[in-house]
Amino acid sequence: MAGGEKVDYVFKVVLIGDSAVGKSQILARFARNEFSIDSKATIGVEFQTRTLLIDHKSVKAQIWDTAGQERYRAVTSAYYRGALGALLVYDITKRQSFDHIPRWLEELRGHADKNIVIMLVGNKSDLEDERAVSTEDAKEFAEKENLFFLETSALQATNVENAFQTVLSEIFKIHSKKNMAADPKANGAAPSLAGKKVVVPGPAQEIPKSKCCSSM
Amino acid sequence: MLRRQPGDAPASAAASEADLAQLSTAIAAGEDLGPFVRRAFACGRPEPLLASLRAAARDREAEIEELCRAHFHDFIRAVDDLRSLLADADALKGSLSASHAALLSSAAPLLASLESFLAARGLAGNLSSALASSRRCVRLLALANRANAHLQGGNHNLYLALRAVDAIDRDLASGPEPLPLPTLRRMLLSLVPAVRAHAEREISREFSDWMVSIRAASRHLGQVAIGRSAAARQRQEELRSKHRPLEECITLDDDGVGDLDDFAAAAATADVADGAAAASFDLTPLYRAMHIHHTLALGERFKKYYLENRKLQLTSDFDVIAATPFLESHQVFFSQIAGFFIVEDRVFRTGGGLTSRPDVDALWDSAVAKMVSVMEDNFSRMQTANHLLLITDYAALLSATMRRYGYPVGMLLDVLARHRDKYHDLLLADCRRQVVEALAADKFDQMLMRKEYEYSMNVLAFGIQSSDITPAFPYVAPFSCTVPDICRIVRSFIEDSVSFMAHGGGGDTYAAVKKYLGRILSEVVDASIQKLVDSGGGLSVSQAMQVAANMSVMERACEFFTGHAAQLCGVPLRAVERGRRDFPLRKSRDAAEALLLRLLRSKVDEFMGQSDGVTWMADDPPAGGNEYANEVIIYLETLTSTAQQILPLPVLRRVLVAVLAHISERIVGLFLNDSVKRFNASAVTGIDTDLKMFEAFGESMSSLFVDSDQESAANEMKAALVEARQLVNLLMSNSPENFLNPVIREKSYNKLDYKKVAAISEKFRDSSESYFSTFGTRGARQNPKKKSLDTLIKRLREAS
Repeated sequence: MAGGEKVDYVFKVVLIGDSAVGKSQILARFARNEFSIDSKATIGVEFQTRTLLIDHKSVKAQIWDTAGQERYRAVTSAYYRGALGALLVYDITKRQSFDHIPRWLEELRGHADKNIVIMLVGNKSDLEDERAVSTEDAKEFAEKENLFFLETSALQATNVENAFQTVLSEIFKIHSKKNMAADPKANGAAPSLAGKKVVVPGPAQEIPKSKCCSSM
Repeated sequence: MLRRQPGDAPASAAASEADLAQLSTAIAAGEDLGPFVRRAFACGRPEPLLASLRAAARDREAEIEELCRAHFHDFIRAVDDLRSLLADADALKGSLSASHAALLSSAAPLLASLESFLAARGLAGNLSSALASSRRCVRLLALANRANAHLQGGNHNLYLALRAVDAIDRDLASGPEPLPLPTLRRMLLSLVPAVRAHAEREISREFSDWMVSIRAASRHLGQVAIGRSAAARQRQEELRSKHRPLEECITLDDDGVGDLDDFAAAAATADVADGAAAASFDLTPLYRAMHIHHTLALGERFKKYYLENRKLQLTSDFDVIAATPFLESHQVFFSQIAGFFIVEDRVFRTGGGLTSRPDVDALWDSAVAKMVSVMEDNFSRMQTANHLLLITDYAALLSATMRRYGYPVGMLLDVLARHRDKYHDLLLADCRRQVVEALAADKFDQMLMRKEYEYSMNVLAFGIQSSDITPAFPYVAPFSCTVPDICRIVRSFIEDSVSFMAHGGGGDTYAAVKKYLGRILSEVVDASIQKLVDSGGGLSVSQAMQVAANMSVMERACEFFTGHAAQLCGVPLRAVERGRRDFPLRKSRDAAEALLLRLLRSKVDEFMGQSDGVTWMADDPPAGGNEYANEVIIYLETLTSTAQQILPLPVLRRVLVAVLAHISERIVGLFLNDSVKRFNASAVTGIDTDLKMFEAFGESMSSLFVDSDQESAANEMKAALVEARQLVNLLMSNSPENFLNPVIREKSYNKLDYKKVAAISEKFRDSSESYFSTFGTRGARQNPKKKSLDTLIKRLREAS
């Protein structure tokens, strides 16, 4: 699949969070449009790729998932290495999975690049009747820690596309700035990214204002 | 018997009586009488012999007549008997004729009955024969019907169908006579091979279906088996190493397979969607196919067919990776092969000779060769360390899995071991880039931390805290942000190295990890910092000081790295502490200090370069010292107040001593400067005042080192300024010629150089001479200091 395509960027994004919060389902939902080997319940790490266009550039998203073996230590460090984006996933019906988010965030910041783009994701938004984590609590935590925030439903495909698009677009911005800084000649040629609208929210969903992760 | 006649006279002699006795015996015995006759005639007296012979003849004739008479009587009686018998026979003949007539009259109806009986019996025999033949036909048709029913019942009844068909065949082949119905016989003769062919076709189709399904099932089976190996390894690691806080709070989902074998585990973990795959772990179709082929006397052919098809299937498994990048397909590739051989192991153990150990070994050898080839090819083109780690890790899990089934995995592990250096080279290259980026991004300011988790993440995580008390926030660290960044990079390297070493090959893991840790610290961290320092890079004094301060923090971090590596390798810390080594970043630390000194010296030179600062021919000494000295003192005091916050005391001490030594050099240099032609005693007094200020500064600085020997610090500071002090003392002395006295020189002027003293003295003498020359015009005596100075100069010239 990848052989014939010309790809301008390859961005690695990792999915982290407690087991059974639906990380693999989020990944499957996002990557559903691309052919992939049938590899269910793989060991330690699974990743799938999907190529999309951002601002007329071909961006290949390499999404990494722990596939339910969060403590698979052999690839803990390698899992985070080179990651430019991360989705911190919790289950809105399980308070404990949200209470563990600070520890996941700490591990992420301890291993990954400091400029990583992080989005807090509350999955299983279709199970409103069983909600155990309020949107306000999560939003407050996200604002305090300078994270993006969205609630998703992998089952109903709610906001999954938006989550990845937001993270990838933000990574793209950062990388474009780096490239322009590295190559002054490209300043004039590169189109301005200011005010670019990249996320189209669904009904009743609020997208937080764009925030860059602060330097630690 | 000879009878004695009464008329015969006994005239013969005794000898004649003996001869007669013998002759009688011979006649009675029937012997030949020749010898008797010849002897009688030889004797010449034949008459007695002839008389005996005639007597014997008469006796014989008498007997014959007697015998004939007796026989005649018997004959007559016999004839009478015969005549009587003839009469009886005639009577019997009549009686017999009468009986015959009676019998014929009564037997006629019986004969008719007998004929009827015989006809009926023949008919019965025919009927029996027909019935037997029909019964045989019925039995054959019943067998055929049963075979048909079994065939309709599915492949699990094929064996029973074949048994029925075999019975038909045996009947046709070995029956007492050919089947009387040719049509039926032809039909059955064609039916038997048709059923066998059908059975073979059906069982082959089922076998082919099984081959397809077992391939899909093998992948799942391989994944589960490798997953169980991963879980077992993880349990061992948890037992061996300390849990991180995060891990203690997360409950790993237990799949509940417990100690079930891999087949049962794979079946238990199959989803509903994998129901077919789970059912396919059943080897029954294979056993059935083998049994059917054996029943059809095709067992050997089936063995070959099975082996060839499994080879083809394995070859096809090798092509799983063709369509997709290996990084994304390697798990499928390895799982498929693992599942294949787990199935093959079971077939070998339970297949009753379907496969042999050499067959399975040959398949495994080809699979290993293929996997080795694929890995080598992909590794050679791989440029990202964690991709290599992912694949080698999964390959190591595959090896652990296959070892459980007794397959030799040495060659696989050899590949992993062979790529250890490549993996670490990639890792080192990646880390080098990260370290360089971190250094480039650092402004070398002290790092500010606002939250406790920042302190925990940047300080506690690497054991570089100054004390065990958590500080108040915001907290200003003694190091800049490069330090935790580099620590994170190195820790990540350690973890990635341990991940590879622990499962990527044999040998002493800790020794190898320690070797690679040494490499990253020396080749990457030390070299990068050294390069930054050597280039200068426009660093200011405060920034250089921060770099030097960072190095001391890194020294503590290096202890953490060694301990961390040991902990991850399961080595007790006591063993590590015993083998404590030198600071691996010594070069860059020395380079950083050298840079700091270099910059400080330039700063000092800059201040002392203000040549208009010193008035060499002033009438009076400058009050409070020269301007440059005040500026240097102010600068040094400002510098020290900052330095003592971040630099460790030994470094600060070394820096101060070196700076003072440099100041001493520069003071001597002032006197030697070509722009200074002459100077007078006032100038010397001024320099002396400057020197006293520097000495006072050193004295006050030594109070910082109360932890170490304060007195020795003061002595070091003073010793740093000794050259300038000795020069000034010499110039202010009334007897400078004492420099020529070896004892006095060694005691008071041991740091001074001959040539320097000569040059400086020349400048001093000129001014002195001029001064005293004016005084001399009044007629006063020559000044004794001048004379001493002249003596000194003269002797030094001679010495040179």
